[in-house]
Amino acid sequence: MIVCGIDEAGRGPLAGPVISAAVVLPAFFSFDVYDSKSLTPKKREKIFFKILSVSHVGIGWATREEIDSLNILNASLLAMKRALYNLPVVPDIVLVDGNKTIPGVNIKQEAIIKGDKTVPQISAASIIAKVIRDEIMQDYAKRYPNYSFDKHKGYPTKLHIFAVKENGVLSIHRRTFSPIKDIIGYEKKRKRQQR
Amino acid sequence: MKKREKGNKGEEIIAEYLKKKGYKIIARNYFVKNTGEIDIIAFKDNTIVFVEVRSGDYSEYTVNYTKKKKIYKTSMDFLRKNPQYQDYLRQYDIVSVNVASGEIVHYENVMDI
Repeated sequence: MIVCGIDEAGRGPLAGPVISAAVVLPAFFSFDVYDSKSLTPKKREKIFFKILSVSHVGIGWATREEIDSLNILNASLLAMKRALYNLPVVPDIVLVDGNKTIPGVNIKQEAIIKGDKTVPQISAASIIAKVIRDEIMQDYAKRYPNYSFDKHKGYPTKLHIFAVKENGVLSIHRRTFSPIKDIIGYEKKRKRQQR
Repeated sequence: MKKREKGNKGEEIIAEYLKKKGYKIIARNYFVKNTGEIDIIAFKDNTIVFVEVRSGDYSEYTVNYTKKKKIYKTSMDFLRKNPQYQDYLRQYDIVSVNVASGEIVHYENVMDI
């Protein structure tokens, strides 16, 4: 039986896409369950390459525009669906992290709350999604050096919100997320007053 | 097929789809000058649903914040003029349809205002 685990990274940040990964681990591969959030980036990368070398992996994403249009829950389910399409094998059962299953998929599914801490497949998927998203944010850090995306990875830290207030809202910022929304509204108001 | 025709046909298909799912349709193309338009307003159980119909390829991903705000304002206008619906729960949906193949995808509760 082919068991596939799916998890996503990037639901909380104010910028960038949401990335999800679908992973099928081989039967002989003993994989410890890691918590992707408590690992150091270096260790995470090491496990990332270990997973990639032995297992089937599919990656999916939803862009900033899709997140603003469909809201973050629907967009991350869309990203999960795309990850499943990109998987080179067809699994018998899909284990999804969280409390929602993916709509519009004809494979047996199960939603597992806190699956990234209990199921090895979902734990592996969460590590792969996180490493790839971090890599994308490193790229954005090079393109937009004033925002220090390499430090906060788009998450709403004080540093990030201060940078947005100073330098303005970028095209990769999610318009429907609360501080960004308020900053845009404030800027519009100020421009109107200047006129 | 012209853009307007395609949109009308998509709205027709989705109205049928919603009726089949047990929704009651209250209004179609509810338009308020200077504010916006809502494609379909329907209700089911104790929820009033404002539906944005999308019939182009990948156009369900292009409902941006400005459009959402317009839909919200128009829905508030509708509730003001039809106070019998004011006690219902509100829900905002995007339903996309591929006019050529008839494939429908329903995204529920997309608004986070």
